[in-house]
Amino acid sequence: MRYDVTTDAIDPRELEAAVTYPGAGAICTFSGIVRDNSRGQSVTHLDYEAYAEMAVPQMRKIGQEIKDRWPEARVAMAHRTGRLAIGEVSVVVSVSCPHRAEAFEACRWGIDRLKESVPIWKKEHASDGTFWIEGHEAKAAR
Amino acid sequence: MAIAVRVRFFARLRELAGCEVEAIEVPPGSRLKDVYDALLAGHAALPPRESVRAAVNQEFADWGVPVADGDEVAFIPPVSGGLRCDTT
Repeated sequence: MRYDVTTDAIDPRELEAAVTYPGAGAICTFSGIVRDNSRGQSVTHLDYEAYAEMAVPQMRKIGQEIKDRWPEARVAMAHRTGRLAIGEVSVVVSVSCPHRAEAFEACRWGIDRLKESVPIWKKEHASDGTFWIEGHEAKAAR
Repeated sequence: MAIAVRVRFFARLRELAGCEVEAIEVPPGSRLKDVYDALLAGHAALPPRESVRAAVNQEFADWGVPVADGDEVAFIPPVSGGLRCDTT
């Protein structure tokens, strides 16, 4: 199990290495990537800000929730903070399981929970200004 | 005796509050909502409580939870993936 909030580049292969075990026949890895557009506008870069002392324990809690639902799963999560360029990896969730069905399900569940409950925020620098993204809303940033 | 808590603001709330950390004293028996209301008095730009979630000592908590001396309280705007603000 490995849970990180980091300003360093994230290598999804490292998270996969952390979850692999001899009985795992499937590893499902989700990588979130910085996109060059949002809300119909072009995006130049992002800034992510975390409440790191809370974000890592929240990730660990989600990992435990996955273990409760899929007892054979092993989980790793990492989220980047700071300034990210287009094409960079912002978040990775990797889950290993004996078979692919539960690996897909658990990974999907993990990234969805991370996105809704881990205190990390995205500031979008776009052609129409700078915005904090809060759910479906973009709110003007300073 | 007053209760001293350490308040942390993040993201848009940090910008609206104009600071990352604030030490505040509140009367005994105060709840999270009282702490936020006290902060609103000094930071008029902060959004209404309905659009914010609270955490005490790195755990999400309801607005009715009492605070204790030395607590770290955080006021948290919705996250990008849609952190729900449906707790009262």
